Amino acid sequence: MSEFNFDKLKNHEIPDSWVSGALNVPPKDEKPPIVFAKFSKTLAFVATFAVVCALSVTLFIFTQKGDTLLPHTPTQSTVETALPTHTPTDSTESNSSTNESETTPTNPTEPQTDSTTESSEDLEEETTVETSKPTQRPSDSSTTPNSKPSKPSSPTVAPDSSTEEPEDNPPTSNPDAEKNPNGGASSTPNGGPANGDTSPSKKIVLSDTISLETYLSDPDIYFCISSFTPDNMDGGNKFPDIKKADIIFANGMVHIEYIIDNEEEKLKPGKHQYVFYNSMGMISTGTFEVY
Amino acid sequence: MAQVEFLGLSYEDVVKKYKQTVGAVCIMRLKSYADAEDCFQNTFFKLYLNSPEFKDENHLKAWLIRVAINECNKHIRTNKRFLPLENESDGAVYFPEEKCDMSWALLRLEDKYREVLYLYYGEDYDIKEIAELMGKSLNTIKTLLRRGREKLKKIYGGETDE
Repeated sequence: MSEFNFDKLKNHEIPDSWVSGALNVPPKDEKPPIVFAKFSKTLAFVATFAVVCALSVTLFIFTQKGDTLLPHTPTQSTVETALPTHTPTDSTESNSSTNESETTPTNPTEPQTDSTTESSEDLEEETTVETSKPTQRPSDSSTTPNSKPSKPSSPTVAPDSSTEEPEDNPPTSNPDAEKNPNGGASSTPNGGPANGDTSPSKKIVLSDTISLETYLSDPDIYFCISSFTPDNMDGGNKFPDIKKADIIFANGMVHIEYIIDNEEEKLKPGKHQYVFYNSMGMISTGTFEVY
Repeated sequence: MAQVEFLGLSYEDVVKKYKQTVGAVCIMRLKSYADAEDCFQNTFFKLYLNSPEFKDENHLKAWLIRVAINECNKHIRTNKRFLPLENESDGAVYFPEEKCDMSWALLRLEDKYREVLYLYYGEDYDIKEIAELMGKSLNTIKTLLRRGREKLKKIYGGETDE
């Protein structure tokens, strides 16, 4: 192939316009106009991908913890239990019972006197649940053959205590029944559990200044409570959803009355979280404390 | 324009001295005068703006060829999504068919054979230099040369060795 050549290509005449264009060099200090001009396409792609991933993760986190994004900062809320005569705006007191007080069967014939120990910190709306404190257990166990140990019993024990007259509905012979206005069965809104009913009903009254007037027309608004006590760190919904029928809106206040008639739904002492939902998702949240 | 020198040559001297080499590479690679002009100028712009250090003129020439090929590849990558117009024949490179000059046949080869054949026969680089210039192994360059020659024979109507 030595006789062949590429002379036509090699000696192709270069137009003067090419040379003059090549000699017209842009100044060295000229900056590229685009931000990504310095980066290769790969770098730009990687940077874009990283930003998108970061935004996705951030959005996911905020979705999971959306309560932090809500503008509303609820005021301190309280939970009251077994307040039959309680009015919706009258929820500043914090009397609550523990599971252990409910689950431990007590002897109905034995008067409960430990409510006097609670009277110093509780107000007049003290629940009958709190009358059966573990401090009284030794005396109970001595007289009751089937009494449980002082350790808090599991929630499944509660239904079994139906034959033992739960402390929420003490017999009329109980001296605490007169002393505690909440103990009266006739004053319970549900009415049912009062006279010897075995279900230990309690009522959660939660007040807060949440501006939810705009959601009044929403039929799908509901409410739930999540428990974050050390005993229940799963954070799951502790209570079934409270429908709008249980939520009272008045003067910019949200008042919730919820009857607890299930042992498993009782709140333990500590901080809890409540959340308002509507059909669009979470709209407000806050914390309250059970003492 | 600030005065820049390369091995004692001014930028203008370098452009005038190597315009044929760089122009031929761009025309051979792109087969379009308009596209080749862009890459031709970009090649010398890079020389001016980067102002690399060269050991000798061979190094300078190899650098220019390498940059010209890269610019052509970049131009092809950038414009590969744009199909040329069918009737566009004004900017297309055309060489008349001649017996000894294979420029017209070279343009009918695939890109990978065209570059190697031109550097080997047109610029008189040996296989090792072409391998370094293109960043490929010696065997790859040998294979490309052999297959390129066979394809040239086919274009001229000859019989291949295989």
